[in-house]
Parts: sequence; structure tokens; C-alpha cells
Amino acid sequence: MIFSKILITISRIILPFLLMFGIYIILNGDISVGGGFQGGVIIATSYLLYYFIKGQHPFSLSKMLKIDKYLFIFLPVMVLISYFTRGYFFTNWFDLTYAYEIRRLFLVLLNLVIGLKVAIGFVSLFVVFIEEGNS
Amino acid sequence: MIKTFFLVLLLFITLSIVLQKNNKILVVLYSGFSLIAASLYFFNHAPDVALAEIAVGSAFMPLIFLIAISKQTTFTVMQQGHFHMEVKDFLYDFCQIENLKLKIVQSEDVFNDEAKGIYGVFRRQDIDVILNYHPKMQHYILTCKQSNVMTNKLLEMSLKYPSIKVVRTKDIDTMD
Amino acid sequence: MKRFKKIAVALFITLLMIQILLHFDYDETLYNTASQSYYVENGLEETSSKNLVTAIYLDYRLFDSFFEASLLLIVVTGIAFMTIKDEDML
Repeated sequence: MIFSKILITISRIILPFLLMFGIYIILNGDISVGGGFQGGVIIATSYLLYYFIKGQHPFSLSKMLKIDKYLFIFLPVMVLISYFTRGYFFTNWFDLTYAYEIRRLFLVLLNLVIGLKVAIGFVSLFVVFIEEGNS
Repeated sequence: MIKTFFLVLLLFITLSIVLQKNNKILVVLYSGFSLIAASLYFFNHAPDVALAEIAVGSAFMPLIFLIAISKQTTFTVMQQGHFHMEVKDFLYDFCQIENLKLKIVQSEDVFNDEAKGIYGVFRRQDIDVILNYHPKMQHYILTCKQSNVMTNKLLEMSLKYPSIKVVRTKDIDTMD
Repeated sequence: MKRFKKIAVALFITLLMIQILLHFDYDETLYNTASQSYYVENGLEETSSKNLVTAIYLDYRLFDSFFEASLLLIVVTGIAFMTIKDEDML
């Protein structure tokens, strides 16, 4: 197959900026517009742009699936810790007496987990769709 | 004021999507529809939904559509063994008339059962035509389904060649 | 005859939508605003996030987001099961 050189060059320049933009939207999810789902979709777009144009994976797919499995165990641990500090499930770990900057840690971590899970889900769905029918 | 203007524009784009027949223009129009819908979400004081709609509706869905369109234009032929160039010339002429791409696969690659086991059921390719050679009567047999729209013209074109025969089979009723 | 029916159905739906848009007024409808006023007043102090949408889906309703995130793993597992063709791909 012939891959056009203009598209390959431009996509190699754009890939790190798209990735950084997606992580920026995830990390500022609780101050401004954004959040986990939106940033995850942007990260998946950056991966698929490179894969669709060049034909090779930019990061390896099996390592991403391993990260997904570890995140699945990490999520209930984070959610259930709050029973020991406050007495309620499914809420923030820290009490109302702490400052805003310390209590933000919980929201940022949860946004990161959700964003990465969404990105990996979308990427695996598309890789199957593109490769179906090729021997 | 701006909201009613965008709503009227949405109506015109929808009408042109319904009446358009070219596949590649449809993808661009769908992307424009998603952009206008995202602006409407923004003017109704919901910026989170607008960001998600732009990322999904303008980046993912046209990609899915483009992949599906490009897979529609390949014509897959499965053969058992290696054959004379006359049949391949005939298939090549057919594909040139209908603007398709020809792809020929061997039958050993498709039905290789030892390496796949149960996964072979999920990974079978979409095959349009099966190519066989009848050694007694010395002609080629092309088998295709009756519901396949791409092979409508194949029967008329094969009347000029005496050694090529086209057979159309009916689908078996499934028990779903 | 068929074309006449299609055009009639399309016109009917268009007129219905125009009537709905003209007679719908957001400022006059009466909603029950109990939860809306609670979220707007106490959202910032209890959750420490300036985005109300984030406060709702990450603190008040974390139960739903938890199951949504675990559903994505099941989807990826099902898709990965269907794609194994030779063992060095996944």
C-alpha cells in the first residue's frame, strides 16, 4: 500500500500536541469545563490518527490492555477507602476541615482513571474494526 | 435570535443529507451537522456536552463511515489452487467497469482450522465469489450469493466467454 | 401514490415540530427545584470543586460512575476475545 508522505509528516508533528491537550483537559476537570470522558476521547483520537495514516501502532496494544486490568482493580480500592476515614462509602476521603487544595486530589485521581479507561476502550474497539477482514 | 438561525440551518442540512446519494459527501455533511448541534448545546448553557459532542461527532463517526465505505469497494475472490490467466482477466475487466478493487485469497488461509480452533468462526472473511475448476467438463465455475448486489452484472458478462459459468445460490434461512 | 404518502408524513412531522417549538416557553413552566437549589447552594463547600457537573458525577452520584467505568472493561474483554487470530497480536 502507498502511504502519502505529507500526511505522515504532519501527523507525526501533531501527535504530541494532541496528547498534551487531552491530558490538560483531564487534569483541569474540576476547575473548568472538561472532565474524564471528554479528555479520554481526545487521547483515543490522537492514537487513531497516527494508526489510520501510517499503519503501525504508536504504542503497543497489549501493554494498554494490561494497564486497563490494573485500573479495574484500582478503582474500587479508591472508592472504598472512605469507609475507614469518614464512615460513608462512595465519597471523598478527607473531612470538611481540610483546605480545598488537599481535597482536590481525590477528584483529579478519579478523573485520570476514568479518562484512561475510556481511551483504551475506544482504541481497542477501533483497532478491531479496522483490521477485520484482513488475513 | 441566534438559536432560531441555527435551528433553521440544521433543518436545511438534514434535508440535504436525506436527498444526497454520493457517499463521500454525506460524511462531510454529517460532520457539519454535529458541529452545529454542538454550537446549539453551547448556546443553551451546557459546555461539557458540547465538548463531548465535538470530539465524538466530528472525529470518530466520520472515521467509522470512511472505513466502512472503503471496505465496500473491494471484491474478494477465493480460489482453490492456481488457475489460468483467462479467468483473472475476466474478473479484472469486471472490476474495472464497476470501479471495484480485486482481491484474491487462497482457500487454505481462510479455513485453517488447526491454528485457530473456535476463533475461526469469528474470523472468517467476507467472500464474494468462490472460484472452482471442473476437470471433466473443462470449465470454470463461479459461485456467488443471490443477495449480493455487486454480482448482478457478472452473469451478463460471462455469456461471452464459453468456458466460464456463473452460479447464483439462495441463502439458507437462519433460525434466529 | 407512495411518493404522495411520504411527502404527507414528512409535512405532518415538520408542522408538529414547529408547533411544539413555538408554544414551549422555558420561563413559565413550573419545575420542582428542590434538588437544583440544594446543589447550587452546598455544592462548592462539600465537594471542593468549582464545576458543578464534576461535583455531581464524582461525589454525589459516584455509584453510577463506578459501574459505568467497570462496564467498559467488560466491553473490551468481549472485543479482545473476538479478535484473536494469531497469538502474537494481542
